[in-house]
Amino acid sequence: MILRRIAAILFFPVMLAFGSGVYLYLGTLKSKVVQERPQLPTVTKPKFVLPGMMFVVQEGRLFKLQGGSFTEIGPAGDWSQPTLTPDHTRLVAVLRTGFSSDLYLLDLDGHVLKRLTKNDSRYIDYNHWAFFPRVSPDGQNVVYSFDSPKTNGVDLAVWSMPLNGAQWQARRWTDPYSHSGGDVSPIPLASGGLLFVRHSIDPSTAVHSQIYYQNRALALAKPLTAEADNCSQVALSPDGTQIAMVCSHGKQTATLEIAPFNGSALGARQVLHEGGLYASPAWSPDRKALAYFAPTGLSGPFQLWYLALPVAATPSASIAPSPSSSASAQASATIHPTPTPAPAPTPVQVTEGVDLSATSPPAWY
Amino acid sequence: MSTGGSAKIDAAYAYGGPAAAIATVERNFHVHIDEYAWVGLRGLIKLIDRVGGVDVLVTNPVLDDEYPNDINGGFLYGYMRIAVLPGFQHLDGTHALQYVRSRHNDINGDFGRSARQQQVLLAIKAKASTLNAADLPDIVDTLKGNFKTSMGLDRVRSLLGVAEAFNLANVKQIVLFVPTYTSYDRGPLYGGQSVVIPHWSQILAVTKANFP
Repeated sequence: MILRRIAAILFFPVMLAFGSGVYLYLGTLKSKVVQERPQLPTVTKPKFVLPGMMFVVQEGRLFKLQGGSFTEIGPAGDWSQPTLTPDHTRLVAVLRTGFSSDLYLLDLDGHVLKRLTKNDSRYIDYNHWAFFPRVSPDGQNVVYSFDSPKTNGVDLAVWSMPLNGAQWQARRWTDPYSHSGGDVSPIPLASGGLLFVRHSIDPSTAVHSQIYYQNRALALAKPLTAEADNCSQVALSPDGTQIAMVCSHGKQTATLEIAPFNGSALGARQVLHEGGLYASPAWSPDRKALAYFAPTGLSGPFQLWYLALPVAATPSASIAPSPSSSASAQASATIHPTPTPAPAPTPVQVTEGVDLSATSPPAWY
Repeated sequence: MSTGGSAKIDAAYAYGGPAAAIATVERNFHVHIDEYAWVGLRGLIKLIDRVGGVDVLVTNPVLDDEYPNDINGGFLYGYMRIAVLPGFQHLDGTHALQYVRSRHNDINGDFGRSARQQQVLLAIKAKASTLNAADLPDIVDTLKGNFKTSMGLDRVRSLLGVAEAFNLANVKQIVLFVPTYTSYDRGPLYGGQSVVIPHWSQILAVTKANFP
């Protein structure tokens, strides 16, 4: 009896250790995707210090990245798509509430200065979306995608309103294809024209995105990229001479490309990287680098990446002849220069373990 | 219907559960169904959240003013507005469901929705290939009440190997769109319901071309 008790006392720690060991070992077999949850940017340390100041979004929260550390700014809410005014003193950002979204003017610490639009309504059909704000180079107007008129489906058209004015002064700029989702990512140009991304759906049900140029409100827009290239997420360099874009070519991966831009046409395109899930490229203030979002590896939450551009990518290439104004796929397919190969620069991963909003391009200066 | 009469094929499940759905598919398409798995809408949200979200290229803005507001309780036939913005992104379960379920503002209607569903299924598959048997208890726990299947845990475990084996690069998506492969119809012949009529000669041709 005593021997049995002594044996039980001796074996108990062994059994406990064995059981715990098996439990812990099986736990290590779990895949990382099930175990890991993204962290807030403010509790992470960027792996690479970016020059200047940048604003990014994670789960509806605005973050300022400066000097290698993140600071959360802005009041609580579902914020997205911050963009800087040309003098870099204020932000315009989107706030989603319920079934609508509105544009707000904020200072660089996230304090609300002014509500620019009022798109909420107690009647569901009278609610509206406002997305993709950008302030014109002269600081006078804010252009954005707005789902009005809703006469034939709900599609986003590009609108422009005075930054210091009222929403009733807004003018519609583009006429999107119905039931396509519409026109997004507008970029007002110093010339008074507009770059934007238009969506279309062909008879085989394939969805396409193309970068368009339009010189004035409701004028005929001309495509700068071919339908089959499926280019979107256009970003204009600070000096207005180059664009960056993401082109999926109908696949589930994309190419990250840049091209010279003369104000109304693109030059020879350069593929910087291919085969990844690239999103929302943004130019560095000195236009020598891009920042963009992509997962680490083939999938996962999107991280911030930095890509120094090759010297050959400076805008020395000649500009292609101005494209025709036809919106047909046939015409657009013949007007664009073939992407030229360039030495692939090595991207540097800036963040780790966060889940940045890939549909909110970084605002960087 | 295996339960008698005619109706849209998805009605079989409503009339007689998995057994009726399987029997109806087997009778109409002369194929044998080995097993079934059913995931409810909440289950899809939980599954995607549990595996840490899915990476999808949202090809165009998905805007819907009549999206069903039936997930979080409340009025079963109520509706809400959704907006899923375009571009590569990491979708959580709620937004992935919105992306695959919306159909009111897609010019391709149900066909556009089917294409989006295929896209998200492939994204889930891509995520599944990173899972292993040690993850199954967590996944099963997550899906409790939102998942039904005729398979046992051993069978599911054996299928994980199959999921790992096939290459996404070899997956080709085909949508039997209108008017080439199908056409819309409605009327008394179909109980007044809107239906999709198959164009069998075109469908069989594309089937043979892809499954020689």
